[in-house]
Amino acid sequence: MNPQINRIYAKLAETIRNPSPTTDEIDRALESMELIAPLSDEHVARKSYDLFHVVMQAPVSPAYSQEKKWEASRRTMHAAYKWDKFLPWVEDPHDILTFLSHHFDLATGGENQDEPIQNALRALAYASGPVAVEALKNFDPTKPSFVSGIRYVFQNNRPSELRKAALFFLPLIGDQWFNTPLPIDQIKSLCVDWASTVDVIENNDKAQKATLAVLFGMINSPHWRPHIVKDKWRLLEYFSSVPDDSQPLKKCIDNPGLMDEIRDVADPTAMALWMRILWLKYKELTPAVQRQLERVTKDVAQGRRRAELDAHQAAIDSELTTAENALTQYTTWSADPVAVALRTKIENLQHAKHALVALKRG
Amino acid sequence: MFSAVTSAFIIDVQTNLQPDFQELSYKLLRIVANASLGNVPTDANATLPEWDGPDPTVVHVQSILYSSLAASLLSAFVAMLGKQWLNRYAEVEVRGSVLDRSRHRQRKMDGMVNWHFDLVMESLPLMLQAALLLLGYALSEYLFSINKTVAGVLIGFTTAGLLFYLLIVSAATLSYNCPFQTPLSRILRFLIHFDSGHKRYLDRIFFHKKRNRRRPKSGGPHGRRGDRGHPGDHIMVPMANVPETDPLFNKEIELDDFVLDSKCITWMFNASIDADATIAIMRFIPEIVWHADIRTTPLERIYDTVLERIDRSSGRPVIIPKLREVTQLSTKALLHLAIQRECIGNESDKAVFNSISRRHLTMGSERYEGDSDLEATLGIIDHVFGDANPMHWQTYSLTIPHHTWMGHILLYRAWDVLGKGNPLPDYIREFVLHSLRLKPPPPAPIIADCLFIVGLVLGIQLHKADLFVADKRWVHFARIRHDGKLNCLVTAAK
Repeated sequence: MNPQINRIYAKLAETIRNPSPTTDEIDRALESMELIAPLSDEHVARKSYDLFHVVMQAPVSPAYSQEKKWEASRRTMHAAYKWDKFLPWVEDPHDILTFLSHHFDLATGGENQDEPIQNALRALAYASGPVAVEALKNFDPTKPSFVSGIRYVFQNNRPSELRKAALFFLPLIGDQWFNTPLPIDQIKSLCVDWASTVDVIENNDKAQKATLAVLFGMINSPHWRPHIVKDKWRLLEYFSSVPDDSQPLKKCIDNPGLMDEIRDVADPTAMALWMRILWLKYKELTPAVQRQLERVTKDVAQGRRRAELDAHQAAIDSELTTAENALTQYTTWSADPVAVALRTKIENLQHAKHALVALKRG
Repeated sequence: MFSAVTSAFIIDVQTNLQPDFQELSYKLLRIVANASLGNVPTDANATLPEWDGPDPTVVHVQSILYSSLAASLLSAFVAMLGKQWLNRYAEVEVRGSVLDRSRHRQRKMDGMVNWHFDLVMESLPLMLQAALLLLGYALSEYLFSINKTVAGVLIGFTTAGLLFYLLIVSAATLSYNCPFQTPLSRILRFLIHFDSGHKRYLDRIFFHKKRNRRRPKSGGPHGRRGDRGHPGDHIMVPMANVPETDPLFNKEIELDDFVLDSKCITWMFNASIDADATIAIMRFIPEIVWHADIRTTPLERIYDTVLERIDRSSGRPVIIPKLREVTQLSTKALLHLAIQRECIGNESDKAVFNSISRRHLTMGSERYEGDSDLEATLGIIDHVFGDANPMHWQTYSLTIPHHTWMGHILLYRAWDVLGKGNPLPDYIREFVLHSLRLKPPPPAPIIADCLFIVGLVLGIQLHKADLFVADKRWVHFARIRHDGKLNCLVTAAK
């Protein structure tokens, strides 16, 4: 079947690239795109992704109007990213971001554009390669129209698959999104909608990872932090899902003023979980944050919440066990980077444990 | 009778195997007469003649004549036995149940097939032909030793007869359809396994150039009617006004066989009204490609058969329950035939289509007790013959064989409609969308047909001969060139 698929897509690309196509040719091409789009096939997905770029970059003409161009882009995007089992890698996200921005505009204007937006978000969230991730860093997601679009997809009445894709997309633009010097419109409602989205999606390792990446971004941002939904601080208990080299986490633990800010959060669990994270990362903390942590821990040890320290120690022990178990898969002095990282982690955790035990004893 | 003729010659030649006493007496009398006249002979004539056995030529001729006689008598003997065997086969068993008698008959039939009864019976004329040949040879040789002029006439006729025989044997061996079949040609074909593959090979070698030369240029709306050529050329006759393109597949389709099959069906329709025969006919019709060289089709007859199975007395169409199977087969046959013939656009077909369209009433709007195959087929029949309701494919649950067949036949329809410059009908568009959306996906032949429909929408030409190939998965493109029209060199994997 692939030869016939090749012929179809070659003909489609030829028609779209043609600077002066006839209306009939364009209409037939659009009809063909619509017909082939439902086919769940790897080859179709790859070819559709390539055709999407051709569609986006082709010049408009009297026969190939801007409206038809968007229609063609929607059909190719659907053909490429509708299928869960195979998503073509996004090498260059610019066309998809253009597509996404346009459909955000349409959606916020009152049109139902859930499917194209969902496809674009799925592409960016689930299939962005390293090149695409780097390219996304140059994109400004804080434009009011784009922010409105993101807010639109997180709304409660949007399909859960769409909201899930947005949830997974957010970490990719988190750096620019949460570190903008100016506050974003309607942050509070956005935080609420994001929190409700977290509640509806399946709670698995990948979802926890994406959720925490966003949560750390929110925690570290003075604009966002006050609007974090109270019970979402408890998501910090999934800390172990976060990779050791997570940049949002690194920024948070390097932030010396964060501990005082979190102490003011209404939910006392937030502070306890944050301290636990800091103890797990004790060796990696800056001296200032280390001193802060030790001071707060002493206060806790002398107060009524002393049992919290036992929980921190248990968490360290648990992480130690996990790391030691993982290390048993390697030879004693393996030079494998993972083994080296595990040994470093074990060493850091043991160091943290000794420091914590010493503080507990007073 | 033949043995009597041979015997007459044997008797005539038989005398040459004994001493010729008449000639011996003549020679002795001549010696005596010369001696009485005082003429003492000094040459060889003076010696007393002695008989030293028959002439070797005569011995040879007589042997062959006896062989001929023996062969003819043997064939008569076997013929008598054959008559006995046939009598036994034709005996009707009067005892036992119908099933017992049927089994008994089937056992005899199986025995005849297993023991090659037909081959034995076919060898009877072969023995007679051999006897005739031996007789001709023997007489020619005999007369050659007596008189060359007379022998020349006989040899001439014998040789002419032999050549004629060899010619018809060769023709009958090469072509199964040749009417001059002989037992020898059948045996030869059996011995050298001269199957249809060899025949196609020879066809390609001998008719290749001729076919290319006869390929029509752009024809009229539905091909040039006077450009049909001989029956072997009909693969080159366009079915509609679609430009010629290179074929995607090189799979051979035996269109001659389809002509034969169509004639069988027409004959069966006329010869039998038996229900089982009708079912067999309806089951057979979708197996045939009803191409342009098939002149007579039972389209209206099938339509009437379908109508007879639908009861409209309650105001809405209802399938008579006990006729459900034949109705399913009839509707499938009707749709298959109608769509293929509409692609051709013969004037005679148009008249039939118009006649059916005038009296057609909607059939596909009912649920027919959830028989999706039947509902879908009737729905498309409505679209082909008149106005119809939109088809909701998602409400059907087609069986895989029916779905596969439907994809194939709708590709024909799409090819025809788009080739005539019309848009793709909604029911085909919905069929493609529905088929490609299915989870789990349908079998590959269905997807392949859908992809070819998509290609047709886009203007990618499908060669008319490729429509005939039921399973379009096995396409291998050796090269693809995008120069306005795709020029593909394709081979079928199998």
